[in-house]
Amino acid sequence: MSGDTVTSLVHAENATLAYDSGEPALVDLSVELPGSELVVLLGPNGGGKTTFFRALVGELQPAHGTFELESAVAYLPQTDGSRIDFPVSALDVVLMGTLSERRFWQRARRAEKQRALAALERVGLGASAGRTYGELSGGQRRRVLLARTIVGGAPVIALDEPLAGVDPSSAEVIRAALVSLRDEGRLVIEASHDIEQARSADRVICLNGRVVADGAPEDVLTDATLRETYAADLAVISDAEGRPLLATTDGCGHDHAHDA
Amino acid sequence: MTLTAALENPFNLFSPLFAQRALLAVLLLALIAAAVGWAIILRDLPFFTHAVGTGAYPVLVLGILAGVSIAVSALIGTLVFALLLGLAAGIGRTRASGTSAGRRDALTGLAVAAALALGAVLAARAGSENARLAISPEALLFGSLLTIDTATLTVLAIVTVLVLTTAWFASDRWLAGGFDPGVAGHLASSRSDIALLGCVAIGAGASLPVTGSLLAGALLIIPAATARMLTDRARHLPPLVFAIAVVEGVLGLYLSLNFDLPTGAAIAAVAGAGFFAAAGVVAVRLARGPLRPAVSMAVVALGAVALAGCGSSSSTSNSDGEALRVVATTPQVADIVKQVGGESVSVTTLLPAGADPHDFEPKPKAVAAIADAGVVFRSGGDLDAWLLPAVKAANAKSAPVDLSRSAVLLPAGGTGESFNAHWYLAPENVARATQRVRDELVKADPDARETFRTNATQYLDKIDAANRSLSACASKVPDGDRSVMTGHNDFAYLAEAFDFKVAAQIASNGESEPSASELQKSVDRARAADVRALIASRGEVTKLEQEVADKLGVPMLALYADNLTGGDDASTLLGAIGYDVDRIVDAVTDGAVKCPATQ
Amino acid sequence: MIAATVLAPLGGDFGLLSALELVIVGGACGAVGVWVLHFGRAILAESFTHALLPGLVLAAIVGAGLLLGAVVGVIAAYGLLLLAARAPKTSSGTATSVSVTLLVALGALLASSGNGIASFESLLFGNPLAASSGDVLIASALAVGIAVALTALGGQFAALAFDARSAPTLGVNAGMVSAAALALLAVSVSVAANVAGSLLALALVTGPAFGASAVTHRLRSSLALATAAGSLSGVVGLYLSYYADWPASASIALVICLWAAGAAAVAGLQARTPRLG
Repeated sequence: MSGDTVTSLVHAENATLAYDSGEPALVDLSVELPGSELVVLLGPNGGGKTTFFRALVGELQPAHGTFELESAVAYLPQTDGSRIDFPVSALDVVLMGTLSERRFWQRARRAEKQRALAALERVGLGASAGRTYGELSGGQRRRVLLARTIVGGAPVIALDEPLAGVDPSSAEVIRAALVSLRDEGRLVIEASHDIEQARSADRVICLNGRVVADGAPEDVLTDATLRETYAADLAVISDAEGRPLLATTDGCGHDHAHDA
Repeated sequence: MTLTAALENPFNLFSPLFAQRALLAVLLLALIAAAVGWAIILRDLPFFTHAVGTGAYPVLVLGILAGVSIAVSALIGTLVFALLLGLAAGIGRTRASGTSAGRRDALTGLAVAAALALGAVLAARAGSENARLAISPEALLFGSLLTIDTATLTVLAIVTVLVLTTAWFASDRWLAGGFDPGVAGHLASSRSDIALLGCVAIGAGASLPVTGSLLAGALLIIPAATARMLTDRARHLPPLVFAIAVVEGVLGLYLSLNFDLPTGAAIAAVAGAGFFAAAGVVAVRLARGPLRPAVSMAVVALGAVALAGCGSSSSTSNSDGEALRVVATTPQVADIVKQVGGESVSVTTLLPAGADPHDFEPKPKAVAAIADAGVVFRSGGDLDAWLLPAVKAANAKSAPVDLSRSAVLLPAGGTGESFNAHWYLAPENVARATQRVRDELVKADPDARETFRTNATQYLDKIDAANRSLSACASKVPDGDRSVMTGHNDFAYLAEAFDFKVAAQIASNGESEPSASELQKSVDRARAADVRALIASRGEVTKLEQEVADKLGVPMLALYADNLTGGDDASTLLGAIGYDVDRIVDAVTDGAVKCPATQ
Repeated sequence: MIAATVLAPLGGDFGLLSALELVIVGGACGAVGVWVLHFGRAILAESFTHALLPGLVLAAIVGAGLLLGAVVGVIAAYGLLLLAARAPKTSSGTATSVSVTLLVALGALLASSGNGIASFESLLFGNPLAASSGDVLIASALAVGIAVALTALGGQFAALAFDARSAPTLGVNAGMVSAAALALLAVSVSVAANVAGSLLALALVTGPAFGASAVTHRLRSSLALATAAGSLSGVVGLYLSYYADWPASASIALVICLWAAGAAAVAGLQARTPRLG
């Protein structure tokens, strides 16, 4: 894959990302992200993954350097703020994803409903379109929210720990959906704690206040890089083949759902 | 179509023009509730709704003083207050420390309290400078049928169209914004949220003339909260809210008309009962699966109807169909009319015996009675200024006869009103009013003129006799003991007629509470004049008046001034005057002098 | 001459007693208000002040003391709030709003059916000038009770307000302490309503604390400041009523709101100044 010929969808050069007060969360960020890639952002809590996403959706402007987007971004945040007491069906929720492409006086038409149903099919919930959102299981709700994220057809899909706290069968469906999105040419950026999952990505970017490493999984996911990424929080557990398995002491892999 | 018939038949009850207007207003309000009520519930805006409704109070008072229609002032009031809240929240957000939700609620609550305080100050200033508010503060706070005029309906119709249109376009975004503010909130854009707040504000503003400032939620919040329990589909909410709001609004209106209740309070009570009935049934049924909307509607209706059944009260009717129908605003005037009219008239008294005329709010039945009446007699002045909106609402055949025009009037005690309205406590004025009543009744029913003339002559003789015996009795009081203090300006005529001296009074302006300095000045004046008693109108003796009497060490006399009471020694006007004089004479002479009873 | 101007509102037959009552009630409510804000119960306080109206009206009809009516009203209101909170699929804000609207409506219905209650308006807007020595005595007793409770429970309140989830691990009985906080709120709202009426009582309870917590973030100093502001506002309001010829309770409510707005504005300016420089 040659970076010169493919136009990058996300382009950052020496960007410093900082919140109103306090230390910058991410310094000297330089990345080029083209389409058709499944990118995993890896790093400890506070390493800058969520900050990166906030810049991606335009909530945060770089203090220095450039951070440019060439296309629309659809974002699925880590903390699920959706209200399960809301009187909406799964289809209603997915339809919310088409709001930004409609003028304010336009209501959802049949075409949009068809697309919303198709998006639900992609996450394996076509049959549950009419069910009340609050009655679905946690994993199913996550899949509905993913369907809402992708229904708009944004070329860049950003997901903050999409598998955190999700049951295995739902996780399998979500993973398959992400791969198929990549295959149709979209840029899928996923933040994760899970090294095993990162291994199946096209590209891994390790963040800890800066870009520690950036490249193919087999190059990046080494003992040394992980040590540098997770700094003091490291507790390396190796699997049978000697590959590092679990890297953080604070998160133990993927149990951040309770942060919400 | 008589009043009695109306009480038996709901269709007749809604046949007068003002009732139809109210019905139309409730239907329009139900549409507004359908358009934004569900969003108020799903977006957690009930407190905001309540706040803008209540916060409109000062502008409401100002608007009425300036002669602006209540509907327009309510709309301006809610919008102004919503803008102020938005500004305050905006300023709070730009501050470095940020504003927590709890602090924002506290700020909103304080703003509401400040608005109510401001409104109270404005109303009090109005009491001293102008005549009085033509519409009582209670009507502004709790709603009244009489404030629903053409302007109200026009404003309501415009607001309904505006809100329905906005909701049609923005409802998807309103829903998404509440679903998960982090993400869908972005999709929904802040513009649609501002549109929502605007719609809620004008919706609350439009409902104020019907439900009053404090009860804006009666139709905007409660039916939607009820509907929310009955369905799990946002799409089904608007029609369901509309149906519930119509049922509860019309039922509340019916109760208000039938049992003479404040409109906003009646609707809110019905809606509240409907909510709790639905909550109980839904909670019980929840285990057995979701309810069908039709079943749930029936539940709400049943709950509300049950309340209607419980709310029954004794309905009075005093029309025999043959006699000349006459309306009198106060029991005093009614007594004069009965003395002259005898069996040939049937009198409806608007102010119940014992009620405070200053706080009085004419009830729906009053409007129906005025519409039916051959003659309407009023006492005049600030005592029954509340009659005018009712007359307007009734589309009455002829203007009311103002008996104060026939009386010899004293200036008002305070700075404001053009004259002191308690003329009927002077026997000479009672005689003059009697002659006027006689002439008006003869004009209205010439066939019975002989009866009226004979009755009037007999009554005039009685007045003369009573006046003589009371004057003789009062003249026995030594000159040094003739000073009294009064709560309001209501005993000036009585004092002048029987030669007592009102040395001081607690409140100079109407009924509003005295300021601290005013109060001290009158107490000083009372001391200097060595008053012998503190006199206040019966049934209205306040804690403050009792406190003043204790401070001065004089007896507190609760006498008849603003009203009569039924049944006891002062059921007639002459009886009341006799009672008053006897008690004053008794108090200032420490029981040394007694007066003969008068009837 | 100046002395006369300064002393006149406090002298005479009513000044001293009502000023005394206002100082006591204002101070006690101000201190409780700090906790009301910390626990995020401003809406509940607002609801209580309006929802106790039927209690006040009943007391006026029966001829019982208004304070008793207010307490009964608050208890009834809380019962209805608890009931409404159990309604399915209903948020607490909605449940509160429905209950308050219903209770205010019942108050109005009671007032319109009961013949000749002494001025409904004074139940709504209050009259602190009517303070008798008995009122001052009751107010003092309640204020002492509130002060004792605040001193005794201050630490537990702080633990619970800071982190409700971990408070139990610190040996704080969350249920008991919340109940105590609620009881304090109910008492102070009743006392405030007795002085300032149903509609203006909220200013007495949350206003002083709102201003204080804008100026200082320390618990101890905000308690002291809120108490002082509450006490002082009553007296300043009395002066305003005396010299501007305004109704007393409305004047007091306005003074408190001015204090809250002023303090918040000053704090806002201070927070912004360093950034400009």
